[in-house]
Amino acid sequence: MDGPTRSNGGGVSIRGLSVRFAELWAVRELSLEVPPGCLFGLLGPNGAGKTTTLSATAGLLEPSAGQILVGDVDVTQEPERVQRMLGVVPQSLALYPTLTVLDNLQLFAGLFGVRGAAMHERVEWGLRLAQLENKGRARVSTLSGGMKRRLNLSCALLHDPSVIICDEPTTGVDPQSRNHIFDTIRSLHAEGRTVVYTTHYMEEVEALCQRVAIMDHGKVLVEDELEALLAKAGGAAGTAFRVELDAERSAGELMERLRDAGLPARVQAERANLERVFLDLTGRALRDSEAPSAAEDA
Amino acid sequence: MSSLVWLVRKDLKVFFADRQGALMTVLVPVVLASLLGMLFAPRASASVLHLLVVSSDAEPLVTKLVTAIDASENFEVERVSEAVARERVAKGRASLALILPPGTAESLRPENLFQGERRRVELLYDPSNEIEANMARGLLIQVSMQETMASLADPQAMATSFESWERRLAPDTDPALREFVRAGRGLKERAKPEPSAGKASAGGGLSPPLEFEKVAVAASGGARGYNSYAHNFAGMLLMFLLFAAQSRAKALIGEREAGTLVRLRLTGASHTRILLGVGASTALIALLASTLVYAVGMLVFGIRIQGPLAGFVGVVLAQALFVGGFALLLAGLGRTEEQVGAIGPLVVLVMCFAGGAMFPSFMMPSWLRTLSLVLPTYWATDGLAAMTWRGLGLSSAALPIAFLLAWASLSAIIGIRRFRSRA
Repeated sequence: MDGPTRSNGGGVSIRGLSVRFAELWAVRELSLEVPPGCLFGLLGPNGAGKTTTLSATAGLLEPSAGQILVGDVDVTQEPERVQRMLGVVPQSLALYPTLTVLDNLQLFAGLFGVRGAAMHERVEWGLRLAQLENKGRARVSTLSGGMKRRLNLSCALLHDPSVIICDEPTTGVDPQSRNHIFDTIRSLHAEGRTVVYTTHYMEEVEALCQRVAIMDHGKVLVEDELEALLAKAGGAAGTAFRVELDAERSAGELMERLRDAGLPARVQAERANLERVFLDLTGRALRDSEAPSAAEDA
Repeated sequence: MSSLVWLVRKDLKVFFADRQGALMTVLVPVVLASLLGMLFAPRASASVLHLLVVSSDAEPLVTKLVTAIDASENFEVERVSEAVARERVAKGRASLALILPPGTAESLRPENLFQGERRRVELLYDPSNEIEANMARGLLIQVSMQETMASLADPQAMATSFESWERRLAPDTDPALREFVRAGRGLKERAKPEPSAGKASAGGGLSPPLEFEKVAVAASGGARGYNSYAHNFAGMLLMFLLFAAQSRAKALIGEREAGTLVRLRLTGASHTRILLGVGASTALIALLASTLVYAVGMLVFGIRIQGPLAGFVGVVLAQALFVGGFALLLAGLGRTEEQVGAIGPLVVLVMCFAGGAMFPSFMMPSWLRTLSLVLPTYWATDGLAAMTWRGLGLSSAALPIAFLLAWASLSAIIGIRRFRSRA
């Protein structure tokens, strides 16, 4: 290929996906619909099956059952074609630290089939995207954590993919780099790309995503528009009021009077947030040891 | 508990958590010490020298000598024709060949111990094994002396020898010698003489009946064609290329752990293609290193390619491909970088030791020399020797190339399969 080829609007459709590692079902009969052009948040605790689902979507794992379509291309039938459509930003800093920034960008562009003048153009674009224009000849090992994260993102996008999968792309970065990554993702989405975003930071999904799926134990527990999800959770929790008390009145007194009046209430008003929804659905127990290493989510 | 104790405890736990690595820490020195001990320690069955013997003399004395050589604990004799002997020594397939020309029997008669007229016999040797040739020469002198001296224990044979000697004495012979020979002729009437009695001769003392003249044999022109650096450059180059392959294997496992391997796969590259890329790049590095090392060898140490250039290039290329395959094999064998770091030196050093890249093969027991024939290290050093100082033809490069390519393919296949199963 001489340059990137992007066809905007490809969505991801997962139907009845099952992936088994030895005796363990990492994902079982999972169905998920990521509409074309959507910025989609995929949430789940460790071992929920997120990484397995994304690996199967990227053609890295052979599903035990089910079908995955990226756009209208079946992943198991044409994995290489799907990989050219996808831009996967891995959670780990999958870069060559002893090579320069330019070397890394050229390597991945070349592997994605970018050639000739398009190579120069896309590498320049990648440098700008990562805001590393003056660091092209620097070895990656000399960059800060935030710079490496931005470069990690750039390297995944050099072939101008129509669908982007971000697997915890902001792990360990400073607020400035995080904002830069957010801006980049919003900008890519605004250009018509589909983005699937996984993270443990609920506020990131709230800030970025239009639609959210929460999964656990290899299944999707809920999938909806973000606002609808929050509205449902808010409704279930009751209506919240902001009450201002005189200085001599205590919160305890207010609670006591309300209870005496047969109106039990919380004193501090609290807006429903995605973290609350998430914990209500998946519980608070730690999940560190539930999945085998092969299926373990980061 | 002090912090130092905690730190030590932590490191011990980390060390023993990698059981294979911990085992190798003990296994590697044990194996290497055993091999070196085998090499240098005195042993009941000393290293037996394989000696080709060419003899056109059917005289009993010659047959007796050859039988005695074969019966000695130092030699293992194989009778061959002269042409075969010369070819096998020239190609390095044999280190030593003894050529016993017609008339050797005459020189083995006891009277020759005193006459000082020694027949020259050729001891052909591979110039890369000069130590072995020197050792063989000394041992052959010893056997030939013992055999000839044994004749002195037979009064009849001794008297016959003195009679023969007396007949051949020149008119102007020293009267003292003439008297000695006459006295010797009468010995058969007396008791058996002590072999040392002859040492009292006035004819200049005892001298070996045969003079073993060492003759270096190589297609490139004998000892003059031999360059010891050529042998050592080949051995050391191979050993350090294999260590470089070990580093590449560690780096590959490091990529798997760092996630870059997955990222490469996300570009559409299959596991096999990625691993073949690693093998090919390792082979190219090996090729570059070989070129530079031999360039230094040629410019500074006078190493010459005395065989066909195509054969030399073929062996170097096949060796580089084997090094590429070996990197994949090690990456497949080790689960972690630490395991490769432990397995690698063991495999490399044992292969180089047994393959003759570190020490001359004659120092090894015969079973190890036989085993070495299946090792790529043997064929790599053999092929490079054939194309450099031995100056052999293209056909002598064919077998080393075939072996190295077979090893390269086998290593790559096993390595890729095992690595894929762990990815």
